[in-house]
Amino acid sequence: MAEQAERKIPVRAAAVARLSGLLRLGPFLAVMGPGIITGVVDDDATGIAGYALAGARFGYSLLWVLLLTIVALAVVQEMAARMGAITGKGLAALIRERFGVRTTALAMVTLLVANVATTVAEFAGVAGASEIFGVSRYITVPIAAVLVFLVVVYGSYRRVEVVLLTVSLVFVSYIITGFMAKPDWGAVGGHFVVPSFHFTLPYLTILIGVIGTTIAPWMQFYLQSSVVDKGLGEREYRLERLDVYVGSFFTSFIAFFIIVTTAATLFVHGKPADSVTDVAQILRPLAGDFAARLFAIGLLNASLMAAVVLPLSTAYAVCEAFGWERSVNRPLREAPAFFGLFAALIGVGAAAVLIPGVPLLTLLFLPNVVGGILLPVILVLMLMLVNDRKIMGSWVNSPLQNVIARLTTGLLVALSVIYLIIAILEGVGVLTG
Amino acid sequence: MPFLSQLLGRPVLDPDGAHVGTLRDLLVLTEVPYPPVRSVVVRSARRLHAVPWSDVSSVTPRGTALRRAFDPEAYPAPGTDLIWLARDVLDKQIVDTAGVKLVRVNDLALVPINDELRLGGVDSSTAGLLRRLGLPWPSGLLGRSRVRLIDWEQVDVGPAIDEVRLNVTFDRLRRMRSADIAAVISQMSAGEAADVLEALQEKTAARALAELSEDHQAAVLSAMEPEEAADVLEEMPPDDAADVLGDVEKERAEELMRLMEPQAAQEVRSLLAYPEDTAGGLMNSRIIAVQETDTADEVIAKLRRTAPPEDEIYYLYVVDDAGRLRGVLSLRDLVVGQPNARIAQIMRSDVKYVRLDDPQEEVAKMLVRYDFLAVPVVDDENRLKGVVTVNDVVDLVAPRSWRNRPRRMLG
Repeated sequence: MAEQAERKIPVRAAAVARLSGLLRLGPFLAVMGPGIITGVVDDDATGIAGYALAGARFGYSLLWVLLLTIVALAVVQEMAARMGAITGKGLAALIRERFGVRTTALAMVTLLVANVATTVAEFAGVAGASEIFGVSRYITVPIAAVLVFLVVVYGSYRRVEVVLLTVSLVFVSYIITGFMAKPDWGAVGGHFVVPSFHFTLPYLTILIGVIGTTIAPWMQFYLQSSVVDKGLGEREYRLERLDVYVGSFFTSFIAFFIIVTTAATLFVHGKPADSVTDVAQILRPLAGDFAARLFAIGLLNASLMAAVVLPLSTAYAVCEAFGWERSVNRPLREAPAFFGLFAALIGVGAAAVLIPGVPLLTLLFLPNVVGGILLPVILVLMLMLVNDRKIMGSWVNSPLQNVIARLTTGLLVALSVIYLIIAILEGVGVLTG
Repeated sequence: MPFLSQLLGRPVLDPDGAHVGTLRDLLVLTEVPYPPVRSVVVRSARRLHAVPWSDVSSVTPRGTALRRAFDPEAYPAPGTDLIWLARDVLDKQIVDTAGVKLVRVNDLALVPINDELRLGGVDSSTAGLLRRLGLPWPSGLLGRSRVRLIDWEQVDVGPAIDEVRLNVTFDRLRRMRSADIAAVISQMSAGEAADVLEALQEKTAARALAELSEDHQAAVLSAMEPEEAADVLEEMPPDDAADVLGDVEKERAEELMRLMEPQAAQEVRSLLAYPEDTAGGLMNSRIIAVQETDTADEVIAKLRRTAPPEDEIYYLYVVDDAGRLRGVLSLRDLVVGQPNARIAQIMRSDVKYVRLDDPQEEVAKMLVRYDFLAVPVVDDENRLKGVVTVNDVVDLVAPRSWRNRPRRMLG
């Protein structure tokens, strides 16, 4: 060792190192990806529907929730990224190794239920977006399903990722529509910092939905596996944390503008938005044809992106947990469980949307509530793992991180319980409010 | 033959048949082939006790019977010197060295032999999973998911298990061929693969690393301790090392080259200057060059002295004083020629070559067309700069599915 330390550093190499040290951007660009992509995909069809409904039904009054979710999201995502970087294992593998087969089975069923619902929603997003443009879902949804399958099985996801990320600049469209909707910025600011709360079923549904879509179970598995895939370790951890925080900020930033848009238009004009096409149709006269189209393109892009990521990360996590051959790099016949699950998720997702008369908005919003109720299961497991010194060594949670993550878990459990109680008291008719 | 999952959680009974606790784990010492159970962990009154095997009469799915009365004071909490089968091995990943793959331990098969209970094998089948879940085994439905046992003597613990305590740091993995090691670690995450490579001999590690796919190489190299990574890079032929470093993040690559021996680093650095997809980017700059005036004997003596690796010894290239390529001769030409013959008399002077900036496809085509094992690379002034061997281009020609590609969520 001493011998190595004494080796002369070549002058040129030192100069290069100093130069790239000055521009810290290089290393960040190399690490960047998992957190930002997760953040971008987080604003998927369910996210757009969730935030749009929140604005349409309750105006600006739910904006304050975003201040909470951005902190909770950043803390939870950082935990997943840190576990990936320190252990070099996916979340499913950690759960299996620490808790055994039964808990793993429970976690996987949880993940499957939430992700099947979400995958259905992504195809509902494709259907909704195409119908805004007047194209039948019976044409676009099957095409989207085949496209997603082919891209993953025969294409190079890395290349697709670049395309998707570039196209995700479309998300800027939500900022533009936000301004085009001419919101009352004073009211926006007020509701953003002053919380309000109602004990009614519609309000709780939307509240759980907003939290549930912002912090979804799939994200934890996807992010941790992406960090592991990228080979990021302790050394890159600081930069990766920045990547995660940027991603979390992005998610909430876009969410903010979606809520503002629908609040300034639909809510102000007393239109509750009963379907996705409604949102666009109503945007048209209020904010212009251009705004409606931007909204649809954003929705389509978000849906397609998540329709790739969700089935893929679900199949990957399940196979990782049970020790089945996984990853798209294997020939199809060597990884039957992986490709089978992947294809089944896409098939179910696309087929559910094609059932005649199925309400798209319900399909779009349902996963948020399901996810919000199921998330605590995953969060509790994550908290136990991230605080286990045998696994994380000195990289366990700080007290503050624990407080925030536990509060988030507790809050979701409390909300879910209150929600279920009120739902039982009031009977059915939950989602239409 | 019981499985571990069928034994855990079962009652522990004293000689009178009284229930004293439940079985929590079995402890073994893994240095021994088919390790025997040394003690059993009993949970009694919310505490764990290690009961030595000599005090155990039998362990069956129905329960564990003790030879003498259970005295909580006599049996201390289990120490850390033994391996806990349920805690340390079950659910972890291990390397199946015969099947050359990474598998998850769904269950462990234990074999009662004489008075002992020995660890016989690993069950990685779906049937094992169902058994763990307490679900019936639908053997008729899932015909192919019959129990598949992997002999314990053919597994290596892999990176998941605390290898320091296991004291068998990849013993069996070490004995595998480097191509097989590569196949196994391509299924691991970069961090796990880095752990394995660090534990291997540098030469073996270098060969295994060279077999990995490009992006996995870069990730694994980045995950290794810098000093260890630099040592492994030194063991690689400069062209392979340059290929790997070309994919590593710039700052990291510079750090590694600083840690390498200056001469090896210099060779790599000069190779990195050439675009990756040209002859210059493919070539190995370590060449055996001889002079026309040398005799066959002198050259053979020189080869014996320097003992170059087989890749570099396919052909010998003849250069003049300015390093310009004059001719080529094979090892065969050298050996069957007269001992005192001058190289100029044995060599072929119509030597085929490629230029530094020729695209890699051209190089591959030339090797295939002429059935060459290697082709020399020259610069604009015809000076010999390096050699591209058939090994360097085989990846361009072989189907993608033959390569060791990492197990990634997203391709």
